Amino acid sequence: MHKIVESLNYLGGKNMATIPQPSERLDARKKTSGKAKFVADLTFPGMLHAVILRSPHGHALINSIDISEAKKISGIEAIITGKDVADLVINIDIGDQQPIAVDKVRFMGEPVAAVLADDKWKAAEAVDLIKVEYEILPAVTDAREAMKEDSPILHEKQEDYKRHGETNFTAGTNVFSHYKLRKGKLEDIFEKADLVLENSFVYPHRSHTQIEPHGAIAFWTNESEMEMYSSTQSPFFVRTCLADMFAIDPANIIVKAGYLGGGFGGKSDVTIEPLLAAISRFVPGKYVKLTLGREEAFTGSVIARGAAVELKTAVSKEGKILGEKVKIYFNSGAYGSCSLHIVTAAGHNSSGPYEIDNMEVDAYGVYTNNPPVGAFRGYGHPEVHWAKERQINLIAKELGIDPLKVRKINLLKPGSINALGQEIELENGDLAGCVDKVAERLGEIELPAETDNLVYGKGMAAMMKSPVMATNSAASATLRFNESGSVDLAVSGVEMGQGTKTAMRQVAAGGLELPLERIKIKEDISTDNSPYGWQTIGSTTSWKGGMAVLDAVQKAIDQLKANAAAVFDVAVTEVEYADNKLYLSSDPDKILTTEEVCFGYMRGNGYLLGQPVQAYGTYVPPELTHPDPETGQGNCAAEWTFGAQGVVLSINKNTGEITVHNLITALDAGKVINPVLARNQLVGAMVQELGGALTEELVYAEDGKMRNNNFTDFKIPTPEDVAETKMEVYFFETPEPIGPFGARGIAEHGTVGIAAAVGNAISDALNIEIFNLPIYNEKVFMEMTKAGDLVV
Amino acid sequence: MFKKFDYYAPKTLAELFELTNENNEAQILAGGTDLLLKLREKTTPHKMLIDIKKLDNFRGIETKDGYLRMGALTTIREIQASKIIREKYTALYDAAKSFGCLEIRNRATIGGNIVHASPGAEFGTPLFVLAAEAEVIGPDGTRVIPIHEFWQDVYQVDLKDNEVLAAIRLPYYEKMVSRYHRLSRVKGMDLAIVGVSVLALDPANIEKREVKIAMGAVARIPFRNKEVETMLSGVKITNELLVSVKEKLSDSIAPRSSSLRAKPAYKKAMVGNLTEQALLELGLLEEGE
Amino acid sequence: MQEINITVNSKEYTLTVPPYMSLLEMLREKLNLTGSKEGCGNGECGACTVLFDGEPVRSCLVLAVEADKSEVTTIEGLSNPDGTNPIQEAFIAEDAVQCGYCTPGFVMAVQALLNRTSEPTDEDIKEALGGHLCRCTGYEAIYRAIKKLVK
Ligand SMILES: Cc1cc2nc3c(=O)[nH]c(=O)nc-3n(C[C@H](O)[C@H](O)[C@H](O)COP(=O)(O)OP(=O)(O)OC[C@H]3O[C@@H](n4cnc5c(N)ncnc54)[C@H](O)[C@@H]3O)c2cc1C
Ligand code: FES
Ligand code: FES
Repeated sequence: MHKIVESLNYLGGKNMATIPQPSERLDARKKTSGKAKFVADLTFPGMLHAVILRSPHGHALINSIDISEAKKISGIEAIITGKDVADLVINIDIGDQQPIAVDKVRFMGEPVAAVLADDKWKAAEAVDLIKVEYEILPAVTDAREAMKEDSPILHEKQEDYKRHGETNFTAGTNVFSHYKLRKGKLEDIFEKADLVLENSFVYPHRSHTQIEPHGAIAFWTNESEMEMYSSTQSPFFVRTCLADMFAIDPANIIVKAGYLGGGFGGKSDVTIEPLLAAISRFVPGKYVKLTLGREEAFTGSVIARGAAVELKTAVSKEGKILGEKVKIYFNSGAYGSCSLHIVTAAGHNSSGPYEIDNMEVDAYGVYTNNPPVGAFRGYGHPEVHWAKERQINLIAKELGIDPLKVRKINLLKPGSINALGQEIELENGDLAGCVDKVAERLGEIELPAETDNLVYGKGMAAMMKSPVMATNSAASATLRFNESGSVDLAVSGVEMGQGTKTAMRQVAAGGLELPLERIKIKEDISTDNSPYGWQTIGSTTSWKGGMAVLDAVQKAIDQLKANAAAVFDVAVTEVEYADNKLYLSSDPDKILTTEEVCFGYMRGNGYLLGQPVQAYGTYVPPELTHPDPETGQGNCAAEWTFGAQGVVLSINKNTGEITVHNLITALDAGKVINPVLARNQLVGAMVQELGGALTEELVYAEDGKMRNNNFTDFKIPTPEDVAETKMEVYFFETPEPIGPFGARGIAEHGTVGIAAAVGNAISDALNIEIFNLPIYNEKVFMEMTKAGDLVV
Repeated sequence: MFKKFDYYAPKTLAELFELTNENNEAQILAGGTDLLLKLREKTTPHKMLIDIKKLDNFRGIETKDGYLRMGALTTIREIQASKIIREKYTALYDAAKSFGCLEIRNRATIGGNIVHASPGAEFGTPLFVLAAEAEVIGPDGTRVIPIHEFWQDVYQVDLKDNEVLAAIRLPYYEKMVSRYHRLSRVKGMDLAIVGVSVLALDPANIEKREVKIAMGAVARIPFRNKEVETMLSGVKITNELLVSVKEKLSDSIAPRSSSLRAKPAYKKAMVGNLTEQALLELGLLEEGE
Repeated sequence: MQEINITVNSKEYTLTVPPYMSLLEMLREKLNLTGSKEGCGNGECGACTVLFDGEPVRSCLVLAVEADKSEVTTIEGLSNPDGTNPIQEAFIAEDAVQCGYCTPGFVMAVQALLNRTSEPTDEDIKEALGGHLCRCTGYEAIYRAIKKLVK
């Protein structure tokens, strides 16, 4: 059907055997010495501080707001309530949200008013003096509950919302999106199958907890011109969204992004920017800073994950999956835009890395009284892999066969048609190789003898990931030669620890065959003069960004050749570029250095031949389409990364305490641009996801209040948790035809299968089956005792 | 960001009491690791902090006639580093070691931990089994109160408006061993979800041996189970006895179900395990039975 | 407002600060020493760690007024005159830095560890890193950097 797109063959399909390697990360020195500036570190003369009054309730009507006492505090520059900005709508995809709640709050943490003052303590004092009268409404915090007929409704008039594109909502309900995938026919498959297994799995809400809380500084010159510094992964996207909200030209908005103290998706799309833009517009000519406290970062930005996945799988006795019905209920929180495409991505990937001929997938995005859900490393994939990869083991257990066998007879391979109807080719990566590698490692790891107290378990998961993005989601790069022959490079990706600038510099150096030191890369981004980039998301920055860099490299080389051709006085086709030099193909001894021609070649009399070399490279994943509304299929995924993950752990039978001994990932990276950075990305991702597997869960009271919006009760992995853990990362390199030097995305992938591998390892150790994350000590202990394995 | 407040750091007791007399709402500031957190929230009306760290009266660990006096300002780090505490009052050392993290231990004080009186406070159960006393000082002089009377309820201790906790007194016994164990959700910094202290006086002499057990984070205040203490005292502690002890311990508590950190059933199961662990380490469990 | 005398990174200052200003805010907002970060303001993450009279503390939970007549060392005060510091070099060499927001806190914790002992055990290292959160690295490279330093 749809073929995964043909090779673009940049630089004549050059596959770099060796990409130049830096001795250290570009920004490491600044960051280890405390010199790197983050948004919170910036100040401007006369800067005001914004403090936000947020809803303490999950669901309530705002009956009145009294600001009279608050106004009396000296130094207050403005107090803004929802009514003052009631005409503004945040419309990323669905115009369902406003920067400040107007008549009703839909989650705890939703902005209700803002105070701007010349001193943050005064602003906070004033906020405390604002009196709001709420009328509390019943709340709903579970997606499946929210789909019931008697559920409280969050958005009474969905049909009135403006939208960008189709979103398939059901008016009068909490369902704001329904992604449907149909492949083959299920018909009587469940009757004919040797085994039909039905299970329901839950992956609850988490918080990204970037250690840097969200922050931004805005400055309006006048009503329709502004500039903003923001802790964002997506400066251009913020600009688009703000331009839409204020109905002004994007060119009149400048968004700047420097170093980011962690993103993980939670600083993509927009978070606090519309709010700050809306309130700072009341004080043109003044800088206004808004930084979230930790509690606010939990409730006042976006949260992560939150899906219930129901699988009904028909299997032959050999373990071949004959057909599957999938239902995904996404607990999207109070507003839908930031999770709309996660719902779709989860749907696309719910098959796992398997060929299933007959599938029916229904994925629902559902409003609830929780903070809105946004992108989080893995973007729908960890949620469905938690279900799918547990289900594979449960199938194997039912059939009494090795789960590895079940995986292997179902794996996608060259020639397979995936759920989207795309044909998988050899160059999509060595999935079977990755699975075998992890299985082999798990086999080799010798476990200490079990004791009365300790049991050991091993588990694995196969995985795949594809980014979901706008079909016009471009990345770009500019490349400019200096008179010395050195190069100034700029790319559109934001540096948030993933090392994109370091890697992009390597790609440029590789392409140009220039030493690394000769390439300077711009570290921050400003939308007025940086090359355009849609968002820094989806593990696409090295891949798409790298392609854009290579496009620029190609164009720059063409210009160098043109300059040299003018000097040699030959046709451009007769000039070759290699090793930072230009020469005549007919006479390789006739050489010009890059330095001699990169600024144009000046004859003795001042006559200039050619032009200074500067190139703009751009890349848009080719031939992407929206999914077909009926089948859900289409060319919606531009590249796939395949892999497998494994976990070895032990459990203390007296307490349920889990110790993780090994975390393993094998991944087909296409080409590893920087082995150190790549490995550390994978390790970071594995440990981050271990938090989701073992401890992280946002807890809500019935009225929608978040109960653990702090690090004391939302436990992320600590240094001691992985002190004994051996990290293992294995890369396969099957070149990606549309990736720079064959590279594909890897930054999120370490998260995808870890939770399922942990669940499978616990099943292996104790023969207990866990369906809902996280698998904290207490849960393991209680399941163990329930299973009669132990007495108290 | 903290809410606004005033700050005074008296240098003498007289100054201190003058300040506390004049300001009923004033709050004593020790390490600040509980108090300052509260001052970030909207609901705290405190307008004045009185920092007692400039006063010498509340510092130091010293042996007095028949007891060990630990100033209220003794930091958790100092407790962790004290040789006499490690050797003689081991449960306190255990508590200090599992407490928060190094940077917090450098600031947090024993006095603050007690006066804050949270149900899971690390030093609750060790001080209960050690039969500690609170030395309280006010304008009218000093009072000495047994810890279980001083510790009245959740976040509530027996301190009059202008009194402060000056020190903790620990009675000295020639033959005394003790341990504290706790569980938490992660291996790294976390609060205790349940903790148990076990102490034995005259441990080697089975007939005269006295065992004490206190449990933390299971009730409003640290909870000593006297029935179990009687069962364990003066007898050989066999595995059989241990089984019924665990059952009794579990039955004697009714932790609140709204806790975020652990559900009642888990705490009920864990108090026995922690007790067993402590008994084992103290060499009080009979082997091979 | 109260006046305090404080030595920061070997330089003496007399500052006027509100009593409710944290030491972290004082460093960042009064002295523009923005290397110490606020990750939580609750003592839970370690990003704000500085040395206070030689010992590591969470500067978000210390008041500026409490630091009167004290000596404070921040990440900015660690570098040798030539801009290098062995801890920083080890973090760089092992790529123990990703987003870098937690890094100053970790570096300060390691400095405090090395001030206590030049031959820390694994337990000492764990104790030093306790209560420091990093959401990026998975800690592996940080442990590697410290091991490298002490060998
Ligand atoms: C990150 C973090 C981790 C923590 N981990 C733990 C842990 O593992 N275990 C644990 O138990 N606690 C923990 N705590 C809580 C806290 O550190 C302890 O309760 C600590 O002992 C409080 O002591 P402080 O000196 O900081 O008290 P402060 O905050 O200064 O005071 C606490 C209360 O006691 C009052 N007070 C203090 N001293 C006196 C006195 N001498 N006389 C009268 N009133 C007084 C104050 O007015 C205040 O009401 C943690 C806190 C943080 C921030
Ligand atoms: S900011 Fe101080 S510990 Fe997090
Ligand atoms: S490097 Fe990002 S939090 Fe540690």
